[in-house]
Order: sequence, then structure tokens, then C-alpha cells
Amino acid sequence: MDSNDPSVIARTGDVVHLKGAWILPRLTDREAALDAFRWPDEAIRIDLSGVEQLDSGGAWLIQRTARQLRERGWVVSLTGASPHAEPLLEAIGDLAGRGLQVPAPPTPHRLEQVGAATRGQLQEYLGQLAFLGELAAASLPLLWRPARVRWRMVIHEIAEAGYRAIPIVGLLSFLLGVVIAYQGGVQLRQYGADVFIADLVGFSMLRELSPLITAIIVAGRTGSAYAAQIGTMKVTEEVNALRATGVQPLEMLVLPKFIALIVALTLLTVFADLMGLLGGMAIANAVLGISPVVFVDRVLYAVSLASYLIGIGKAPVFAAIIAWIGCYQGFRVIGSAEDVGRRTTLSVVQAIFLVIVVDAAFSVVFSELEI
Amino acid sequence: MEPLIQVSGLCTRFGERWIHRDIGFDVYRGEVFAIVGASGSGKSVLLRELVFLQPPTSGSILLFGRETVSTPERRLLPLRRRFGVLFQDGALFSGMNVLQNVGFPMREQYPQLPERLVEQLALVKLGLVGLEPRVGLLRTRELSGGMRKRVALARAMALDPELLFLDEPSSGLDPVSAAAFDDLILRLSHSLALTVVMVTHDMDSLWRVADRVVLLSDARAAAVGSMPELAASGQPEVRRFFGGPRGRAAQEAAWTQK
Repeated sequence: MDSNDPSVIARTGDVVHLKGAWILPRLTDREAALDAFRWPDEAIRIDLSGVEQLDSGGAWLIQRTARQLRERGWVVSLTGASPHAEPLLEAIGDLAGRGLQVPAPPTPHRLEQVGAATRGQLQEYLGQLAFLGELAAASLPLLWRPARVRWRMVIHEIAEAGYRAIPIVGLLSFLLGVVIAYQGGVQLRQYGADVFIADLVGFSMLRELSPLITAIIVAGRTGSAYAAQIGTMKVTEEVNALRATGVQPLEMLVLPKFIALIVALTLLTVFADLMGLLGGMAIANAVLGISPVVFVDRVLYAVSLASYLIGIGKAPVFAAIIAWIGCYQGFRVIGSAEDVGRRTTLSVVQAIFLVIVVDAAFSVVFSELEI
Repeated sequence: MEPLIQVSGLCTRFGERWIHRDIGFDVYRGEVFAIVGASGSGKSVLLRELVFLQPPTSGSILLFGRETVSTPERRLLPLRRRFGVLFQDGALFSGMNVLQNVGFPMREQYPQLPERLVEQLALVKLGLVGLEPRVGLLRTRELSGGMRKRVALARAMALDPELLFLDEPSSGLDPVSAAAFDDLILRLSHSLALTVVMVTHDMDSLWRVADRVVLLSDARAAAVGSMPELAASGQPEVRRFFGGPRGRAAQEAAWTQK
């Protein structure tokens, strides 16, 4: 069956006439027409004088067809191209002759993929450890000469990471206190143990939740900012410029952040403790009718100093993790802006992951030690 | 000769500062037209206005005979298919490989084209700019500066535009690559019957490829003409721009090549 559209392709004797528009939007139809066409044998002349529009797509299609026919050993000539089309056909003809093949992307063996992924992960962990080592090596000498620490930058970073985070940390830990008091209060009331709401809120907030929620907020807010800032400086070669000036990037970019975040996160945790208790106290008063005086009294009785200090004590550890991962990911940026985004995301995910893992480890250790 | 672009009375103001004051020129079909001027003279702003990425303060720009200033974006869409833009640093999409980048305009504008055909055509475009098919699978960050420009050029030509806008095509390239890129532009403009509008301050490039040039100086179009005309001009700002040591060296190089 000949499904040829005579308005596009037609044959008289040895001459094949191409007509109409041979342009990109029509290319699918034109290709089908060429494929379905019954070509004459041996010597063929393709006449292009009827072609009204031709672009590089059409020219490529025509040249490819001509090449396929020539490969069958036939003699093919193109004639009648307009002066505009001539140079186009010529430029495309060279390419069609070379035989364009989409190179097959190399697909590694399944085992190879597993191996490469494992190696990548191990390298990532090793890199993190190496970075921690470098950081320690860069900061230890400063213990003897604390004046060389850039204290002005430390203060600035404390303001950035601590002072400016006060509203969000305060609000979220207040709400967390509210939620715990609400949910816990309903349960406790069933047993007539209303007053223990203070134990519940005090213990869970001070010992576990407020260090954790503060660390998570700060990881999202400040850890990511560290990664993005250092990453951008790597892309714009500022890090290399520092090195070329004889300044240790670790000493200038990382150490102040590290010190500042330890201070800021600890202070923020104290603040979060306070706001969490306030949230719980407000709900205890409003819903359970427990006055603030009774609430505070009960909290002081229920929460030991050790529990409180354990809560606060976790904050510097979390801070160190967040600053370490954030800065490490920043330094791992290679090349382009695209990588900055990827590394920033990674820094948040890894920091929160590690914070929770370490928190769980703390819980186990402290309960084994029966503190 | 049919003018493809007609600019008249074009003014641009950023705050208190005038970038363009009453600029006018025509670009004719088939020519290579260059916009030159000192750094900060508003060349790139003018280019962005020509491709309606930024509106001028006042004035008129006719593209393919249609007014584009203060025309709604929706109505300009068909015009956009008829020109391609090469941005200064290539502006390749970083999430895609080279082949996907080049095929992107075809895929977006003609979704009915099968993937196999788009891929083949993208390879043809890569071939036209002198790149091997294997480059197609590289990620954009793996490309050298010269390759970036070529891939970006291939993408700009994906829809077979009649008109090509080039922003600083030879910036960031070594002299050899820059000369090769100039040759490529010349060759393509001949074989694909392209009209080219380019922003540049590469003197060699101006002498080699530009048919006509507009010089922006003090927010005005100080002169419009061919390079030999401008080089012979007595106007002080034109002499200042083309008469410097680099300008003269490029002119001599151009003479010895001819």
C-alpha cells in the first residue's frame, strides 16, 4: 500500500519530487512519508524545486535519506534546491555523512554500582573525620594564644546564630510546651493526677525536648547558612584568595562559627527551657486549673539539677555537630552553584540525623549510668 | 534590503541615570551587526531590551516588523521562536546534560516530536557547532569555556531561528578559541542564512565578523557604520574607542589577513 502524500513526495520516472514545507514541526509526518515511499531503483534524482520551506531538521532528513539510498549502492543526486537551501543542505550533508549515533551511556554492572556507592559513602565519612582532625589541628595552637582567635567574628556569629534565632526558638518551644501539657493533661486528669503535669512538662522539656528542638531549628537555620556561605565562597574562589593571602580558611571561616555556635546554642537551649515551661504552665493554669505557683513548686521538686544540666550539656555537643557538618559540606562544594544547593541540603539532613543519633546515645548512656 | 530590527527613539533610565538616550538603528537581514561600547555603556541592557527580557523606558523596537515595546508577553511568544539568544556564560541548564540542553527548546515548543528525532536533531546541531556526538552525554559542569559557548550556541539555534543574539561571544575565551568561535559564527550565518546581532568589545572579532557596528557612548548611539568607516571617522568618541593601541593592532591584523 502506498500511503504517500503526493503534496509532499511524488515520483515521475527516475525523478522524485519533494514539495511543501520540510520544517521542524512537520518532521514526524515527513519522516513517515519518506519511509513509506516506494523508491525507484538505481539512479535517483531528488528534485527539491518544489520545497517551499526548509530548515536544518528537514535538510537533515533529506540528507539522511539520500545517504541510506546511497548505502544500498544507488546513485542519488539532489537538484533544484533554492539558493538559500543550498548552503544549508551542504552543511548538514557533511554531518549526515558522518553517521550520527547517540552514544550509549555507559551502564556499570550492578555490583560496580553498589561498590561505587559504598566507596562514596565511606569517603564522605572519612572526609568528615579528616575535616574534624584538621579543625582540631588548626585550633589547638590557639589555646595558647587565645588573642589570635577572631573574637569580633565570634561575637558577630553569636548575634547571627543566637540573638536572631530567639523569636523562632522561643515561639516553637513555647508551643511544644503547650502541646505536651494539653496532650498529657487530658490523660493525667483521667487518673486525677492533674498536678503531675508539671513533672511531665518539666522533665521532658528540660532534659530531652528543648535541647533537641533547638538543635533542629539551628541546624536548619544556621548549619545550612554555614554550608551555603562557605560553598559560595568556594565557587567564587574566595577560599583560595584567603589561602593565597596566607590566611588559614579554617581559622578564619570555621573556628569563629564553631565557638559562636557552641555559645549560642547553649544559651538558646536555656531560653527554650524557659519558654517550654511557660507554655506548659499556661495550659496547666487554663485547662487544669493548676496555679503557676504550684506548677513551679512541682517542677522544682520533680526535676533534679542533674537532669537539667544533662539537657543543657547536650547543647554544646549538638552545636559542635551542626557547625562541623555545615562547614564541612561548605568546603566540599566543587565547581558550580548547583553544588552549593546540594551540599546545603545535605548539611541539614546529616546534621539533624547526627544530632538525633547522638541524643539517643546520650539517653542510653545516662540511663545505664542511672543519672 | 529589508530591516529585521528597527530601533528608534529608545530611552532607558535606571533611577536618575540615563543608560540610553534616543538611540536608533536598523539591522538588515543577513548581516552581522555588532553593538559596541565601553564597559557600563548599556550594551547588554540594549540586548536584553531587543529580546524583550527588560522593557525600555520609552521608544520603539520593531522586530520582524512588529512593535515589541509594551506588547503583552503572550503576544510576543510567536516572535520568540524566531530568534535565539546566546547568553554570556552560556546559561546552560545545570540539571541537564548537553544533549538535553540542546533538545530542550524543540521539546518545549514541539512536544509532538518523538524523543528519538529530537535527540538526532540535537546531535545535528552539536555537529553544526563543531562538537563530537560524545560531548552530548557530558554534564554541563564538565565543559570547558569554549565548549560551553558552543553548546549554548547549538541550543540558541535549536529552533532554526532567523535571528541570533550573542552576548559577548568571545569573552572568557583564549585568542585561539575566540578566533575559532568567530569563524564558526561567520560560517553558520552564511550556511543557515542567519542574521546576527552581537554585543562585544573584542576588536579582532569586530574586524573579522561584523558587517556593521553601532557604538554606544554617553548613552547615545555615537556612530553606526562598517568597521572601516568607523576607523576612518573623525568623531572624537569614535576615535577614542577604535584608535587605541588594541583597536589599531586589530585593524592591522584584519588587513594582513585580507
